[in-house]
Amino acid sequence: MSTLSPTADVHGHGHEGHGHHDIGFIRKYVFSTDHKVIGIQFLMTTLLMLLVGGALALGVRFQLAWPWRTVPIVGEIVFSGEGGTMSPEFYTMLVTMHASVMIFLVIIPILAGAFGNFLIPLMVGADDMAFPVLNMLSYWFMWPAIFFFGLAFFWSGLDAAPAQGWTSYPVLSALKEAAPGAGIAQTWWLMGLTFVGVSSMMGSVNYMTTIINMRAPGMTLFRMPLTIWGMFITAILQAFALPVLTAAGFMLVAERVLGFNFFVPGGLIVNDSDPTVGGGQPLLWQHLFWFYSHPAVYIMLLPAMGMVSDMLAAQVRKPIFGYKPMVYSMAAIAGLGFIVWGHHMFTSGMNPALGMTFMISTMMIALPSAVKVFNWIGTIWGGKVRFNTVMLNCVAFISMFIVGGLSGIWMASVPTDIYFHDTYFIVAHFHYVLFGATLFGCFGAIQYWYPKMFGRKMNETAGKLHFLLTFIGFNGTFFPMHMLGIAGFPRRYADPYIHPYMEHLMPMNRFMTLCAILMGLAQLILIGNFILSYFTGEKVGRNPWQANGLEWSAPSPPGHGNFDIPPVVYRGPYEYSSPLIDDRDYLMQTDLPPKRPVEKEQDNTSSNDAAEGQG
Amino acid sequence: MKFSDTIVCAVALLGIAGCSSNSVPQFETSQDTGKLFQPARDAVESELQAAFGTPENLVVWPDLPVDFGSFGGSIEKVTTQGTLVVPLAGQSALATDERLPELSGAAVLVAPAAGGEKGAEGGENAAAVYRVAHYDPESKTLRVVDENGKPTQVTAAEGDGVQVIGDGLQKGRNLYLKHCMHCHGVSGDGDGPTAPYLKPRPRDYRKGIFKFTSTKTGVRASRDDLFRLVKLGVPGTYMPSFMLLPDDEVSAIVEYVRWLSMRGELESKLVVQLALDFGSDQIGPKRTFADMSTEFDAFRGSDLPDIVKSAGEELGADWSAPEDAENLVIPKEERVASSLESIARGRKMFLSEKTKCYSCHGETGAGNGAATEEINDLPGQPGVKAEVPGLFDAWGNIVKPRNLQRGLFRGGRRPIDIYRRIHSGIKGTPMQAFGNNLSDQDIWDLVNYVLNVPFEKKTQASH
Amino acid sequence: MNKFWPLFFCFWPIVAVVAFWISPAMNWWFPGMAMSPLGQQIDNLFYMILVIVGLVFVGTHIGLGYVLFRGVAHEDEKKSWFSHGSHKLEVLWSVAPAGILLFMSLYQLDVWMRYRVKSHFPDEVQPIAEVTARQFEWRIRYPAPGKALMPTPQPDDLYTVNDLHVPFGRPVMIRLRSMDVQHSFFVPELRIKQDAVPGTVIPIWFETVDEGDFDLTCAELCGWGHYKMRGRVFAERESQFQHYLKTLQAEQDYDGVRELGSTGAQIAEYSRGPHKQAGH
Repeated sequence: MSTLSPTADVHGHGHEGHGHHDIGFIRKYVFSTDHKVIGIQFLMTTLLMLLVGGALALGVRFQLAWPWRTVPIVGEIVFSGEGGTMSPEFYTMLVTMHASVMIFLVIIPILAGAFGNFLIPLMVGADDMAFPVLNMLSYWFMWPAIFFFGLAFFWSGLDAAPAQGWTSYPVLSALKEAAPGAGIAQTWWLMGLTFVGVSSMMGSVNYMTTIINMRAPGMTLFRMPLTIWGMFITAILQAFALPVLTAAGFMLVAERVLGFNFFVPGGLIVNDSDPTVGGGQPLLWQHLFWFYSHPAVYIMLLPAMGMVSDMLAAQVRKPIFGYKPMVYSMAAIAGLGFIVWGHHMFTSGMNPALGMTFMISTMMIALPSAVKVFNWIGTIWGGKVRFNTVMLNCVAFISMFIVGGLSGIWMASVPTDIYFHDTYFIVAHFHYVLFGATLFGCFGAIQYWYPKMFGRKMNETAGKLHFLLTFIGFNGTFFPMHMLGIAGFPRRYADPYIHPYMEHLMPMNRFMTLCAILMGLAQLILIGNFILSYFTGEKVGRNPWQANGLEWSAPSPPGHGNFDIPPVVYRGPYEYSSPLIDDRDYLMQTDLPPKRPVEKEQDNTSSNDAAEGQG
Repeated sequence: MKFSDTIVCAVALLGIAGCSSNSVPQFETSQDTGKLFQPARDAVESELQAAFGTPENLVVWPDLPVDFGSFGGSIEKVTTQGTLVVPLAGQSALATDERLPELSGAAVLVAPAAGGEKGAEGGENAAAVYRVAHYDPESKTLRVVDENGKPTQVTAAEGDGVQVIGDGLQKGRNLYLKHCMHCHGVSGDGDGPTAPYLKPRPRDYRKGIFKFTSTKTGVRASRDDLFRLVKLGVPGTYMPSFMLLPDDEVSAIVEYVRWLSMRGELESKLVVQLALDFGSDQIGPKRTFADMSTEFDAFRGSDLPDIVKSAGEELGADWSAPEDAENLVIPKEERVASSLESIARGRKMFLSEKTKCYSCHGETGAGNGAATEEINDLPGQPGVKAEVPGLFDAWGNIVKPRNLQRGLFRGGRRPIDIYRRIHSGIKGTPMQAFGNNLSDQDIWDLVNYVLNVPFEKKTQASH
Repeated sequence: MNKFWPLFFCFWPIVAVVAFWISPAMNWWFPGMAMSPLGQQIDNLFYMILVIVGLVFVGTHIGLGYVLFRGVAHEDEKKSWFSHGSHKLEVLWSVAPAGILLFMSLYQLDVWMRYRVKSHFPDEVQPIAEVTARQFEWRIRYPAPGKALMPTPQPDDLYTVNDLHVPFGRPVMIRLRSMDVQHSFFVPELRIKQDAVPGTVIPIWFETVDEGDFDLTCAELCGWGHYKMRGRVFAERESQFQHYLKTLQAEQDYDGVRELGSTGAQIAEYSRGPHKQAGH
């Protein structure tokens, strides 16, 4: 069966198959156009950046727990003059860079870049992306972004990095006098942002084209796995939202470098400078920024939702409960996602009538999320649950997403948001969604697709321990943030305890920091497991999870060109425990329809009876 | 296997994180000190160390008028060994009655009645040193132990003076490191980590000069001036208002700032003396390092203690003076009511050759007078021209004359504040004192004019 | 051991609920009761959402725990339940949350309108002060006693910093400005937050129900000293407030010579400092 297409071990055997030729090490592993290599490159890079972002976060947590104390390990080197204590502007830089790294260099690229690249062709039955070179560029444009973010942080010494938060609200980010890091560093930061945008845009175009044009025979839209739906909708979101951010970024650069005047009103005296001249409007940036960055929240979530659906179905050996509602709710989230950005601006002074409309649309976006949660629980309902690491991470995803989603309701409702805006309640909310949901989903996905990437399984014990410690550390760190928020604890404060009403919250912050350290250390287990399993993990065949998707019909790892047998799709991806066959509880998308006549015993009213119906 | 490795690795990292010691900020020596040759530099540092200590371990130099929040009283009764009945009373603003129960651990000086309190302050008239074990404000009993915390015999008689040295300065230090250090620096050199981004630069205390004072020309800033400044902030600069810090905390900060100023001044006084003979640039073929070391050892043995002593006395006098009511600028005449006539007189005065206000502040008060475009002398070096045009302050920074049209008055907007700015100038800046040349009447007219400048533009435009 | 993981996932929501339950008693809760009528309404909305959200949280987690336990208990021979979902359930759990969400959003509009929409402001409310945020303090401008606040500074305006005095028991309005970057006027105890946007003057109104001083903080990153912007709102009786303005006026007109009169003794302590008072 391996004669049709070269597999991994074919390297060096000369010209064979459809014009794939012998390629050197560099082309194969570094500047590779193979979507799998690119996906793995993205994954490695984002895991590296995850450690960087996590280290920055620990810096933030340290300052909140032990303000103005000598920072362990790095303090005496970096802040020798002040006895190793952090300076307040450095704290704001940590906050800014933590968010920038985590959002732009971890969450978005790990979903769209790593898993999107690796999974899309495999799951739709294509031999590669539609535009392989563009795909390669989308990875290599990450490095200028990382370079410029790094440059922003290190260019003029550690204490002149961007310090205006990842939201970079002007006037703080537009005038170089306004903050220590608002000089050249902020321009570098914007450059980095632009490169991330270019990278995302290349990926997005590629994903849409691949998903629309390169599906295997029989792979109708409603036979696509939810992962692919998630990626598809994400790609659409990116394609429509990103230009706005890029434009806003260029406007800000033009304002900073060329003297344009979009955001800065006249008459401001910042840092004893001459009064500003002009008639810009700071809120313009907020609108433009959130027009991208709110959909971006879903860019950071929808693929994870899709992946969790796939993993969950495989681990409970059951079809997804309500496939079409799942698809529609993702589409609804994406659609509504474009008309809710104003909920970031309830207290910003925009027209209060907008507050009302944005409140209603924001409330409504909770609906598809709720539908998805119910469907996931429904999926587990009556299943034969395998409690492996993948499953644990998926359940954690659901559980954390419930918390993150529910706490969002307070923020969606304007009157309570007046109080909660820019307090730790928000911080708790988005960490529950971005870390609690997305990252647990990614941890599960790493374990789940690792065999497909490297032909070996990751260690289960280490995986479970990593999950346990991360879960405990995570909740210990972020759950108390709800209470901090209710107590009115504002974000981005280097020393909140100079305000009398927050003094008593320091012990709680210490507890949170200890949990954060635990969580940070737990990630070393993941990294260790990831690396060591490559050498020592149990070798597996094509379909270690007995799953249905197309990717499991390819060899592990798949060779260049993916499929040794061109796949033909006969049904949807979730036909687990199908009564059509007796000897096993899964029916792959490529399996020929069983000969036995079908008894119609399933619920006809449900959505995904597409198995036979939509050939 | 691999899994346990990971755990070991994790535990090791935790160990590193946990064991890193808490280091303490240190005073930095000034640039000028750095220009001395090594033994002289060491000598300056050790003198400063002896007189002021380190941020971690502050030293009491009794010559200096520093308020440690001390308490004093005379012994009413010596009961048993180590227990005295003393009604302690606060000797300063930092020594409030609420602090009495918290005195444990503080140093106690007991001096014979003849020496009285003076003996205790001077610290030379054989005052015995103890530490407070406990003080009960109710029964006024003071139990003392020796310096090592062991029970001890007290040789004291009724009527002997007792002084308990408070921890006001330590308190000030802690607050300073929390609230002020990031801009003003650990040593008060105006060069903390945040300072490079601030315009105008944070005050460098080491010259002992503060701009906005209520005192006469040449007199240091009073405690009240600094207190008010910390409380109200300096509008138009990054010095924020600390209005809501409790008064005692602000007083403690003020005391620490004064103390840092004195430390900086002592340093520069010593360096001025030493730089003539012991600069590192004077080492050359004619005068080797060894020659200089020999000379310096002699100097150190004979002259240096005297220099330190007289510098201390000067500092004591300089920093006591502003607390003396005689040195305050208090107008003799009441403010002339602000009227169109008064404002017109003020404007005339502003534009006159007598004051030449316009030369810096500009004819419309916009702070753009001709002097800002001229090459002026460097501060403190008459006859040496600066390389760039502009006005310089004593710290070598270019200062802009105040744009009076903005209505921002850094030293305060009360008439008395502006009166004082005109009367005794803004210290350390080219804004000179007019108190000797102008009558009170003239100054009040100027005050009325200055206060009216922000509104004048509009009235002119409407004409 | 089989049941460990289902138990684990049931255990943590219990911890979460208990944590929320004990929070008010542990002082991990609102900084005191809302001191303004609107704040009390916001609190009520908070508690209403808390009940709904709490029920949903507990409900979904019971559901999750239940299906997980069922999943563990599943017989080995038997396959999973082959079901692609249920149309009825989908409709049910789409419509019911939609109704609740719509109710919640419509129910809250009223409070929002009273808080922000000018035509719904209390009739009698007048601006009593202009608060200008700057890096890193709140500069406050009052009109002279008996006068109305003008949009531009007047010669007899009174100035102070970080310490906003207001009368309690009647709605008052603040004109919020920024001198440099964005700030946010946040008084937790009054449940007020409004960004100060450069180039714009934003009116905010509030009413305090009792005397007291309330912390005022900045809630929008405004630079390295963001955390330093400590201020307070001091609510006092109308007469005391008028007296405060007079004190401020006397302080501000002080020429160093004239006696300060009856108000003089009460001039805010900073005007002279504690040291001279002891010395004179």
